[in-house]
Amino acid sequence: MQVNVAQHEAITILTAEGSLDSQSADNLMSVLDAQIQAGNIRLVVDLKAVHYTSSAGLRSLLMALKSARRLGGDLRIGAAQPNVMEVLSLAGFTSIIKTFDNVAAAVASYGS
Amino acid sequence: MPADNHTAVLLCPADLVTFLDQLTPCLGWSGTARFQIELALEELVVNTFMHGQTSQHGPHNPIVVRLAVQQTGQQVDITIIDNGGAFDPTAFPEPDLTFSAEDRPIGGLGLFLTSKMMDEVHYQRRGVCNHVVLRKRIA
Repeated sequence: MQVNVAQHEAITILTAEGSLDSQSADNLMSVLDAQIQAGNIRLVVDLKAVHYTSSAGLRSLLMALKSARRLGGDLRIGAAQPNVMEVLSLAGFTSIIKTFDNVAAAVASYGS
Repeated sequence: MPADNHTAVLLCPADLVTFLDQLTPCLGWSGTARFQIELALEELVVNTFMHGQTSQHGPHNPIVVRLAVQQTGQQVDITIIDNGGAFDPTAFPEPDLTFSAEDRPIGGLGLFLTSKMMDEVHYQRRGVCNHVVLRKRIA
């Protein structure tokens, strides 16, 4: 899994690409961890190019969400594909993580 | 209607994706069918390789997972046989999805997702092996 990081003012956008499974979820977790450790706690994860997630991917997202919120930040999701969104929904994640149809809306949700 | 049968022996979780990549075009699965079957299987297979080790296992007796996939029309039956410690994936506690993010435990969702992806999940312990049968009607 490839994860690219971009900064949009105070918001950090992580664009993931590929499959978020037991083999690759640690990679996303490492990138998220590094950003949080660096003080970048207003996070948007762009899932447009992620075509699959298992519980391993959910675990990475939940761990980063908890870490970011403990520090006063948040993790929000943009552009999840329908199958990925269904897993987020089945796991009850859509009630604890803010999800948006696209990344621009996720970024805008943080306000100025 | 004739059945289409495929088998694989998995020695690590990554072997699952290799097998499914070969199988998907053969069986004409849609993207959603592949997603659901992969998710159901990954949770079971990873669980076996991560937690199935017992004192009986070692370099000369590794964990091995055998898969048999049978498709008849729109019905897919998958049998998963492993030599890991006895584990019934149908007997897991349902996760509480009402917790806030702060109180939500990390993990505990895998087998729940398997049950949600499949129409039926059955388990039997036979000798030293776990036998799990998944059934799914694909669109």
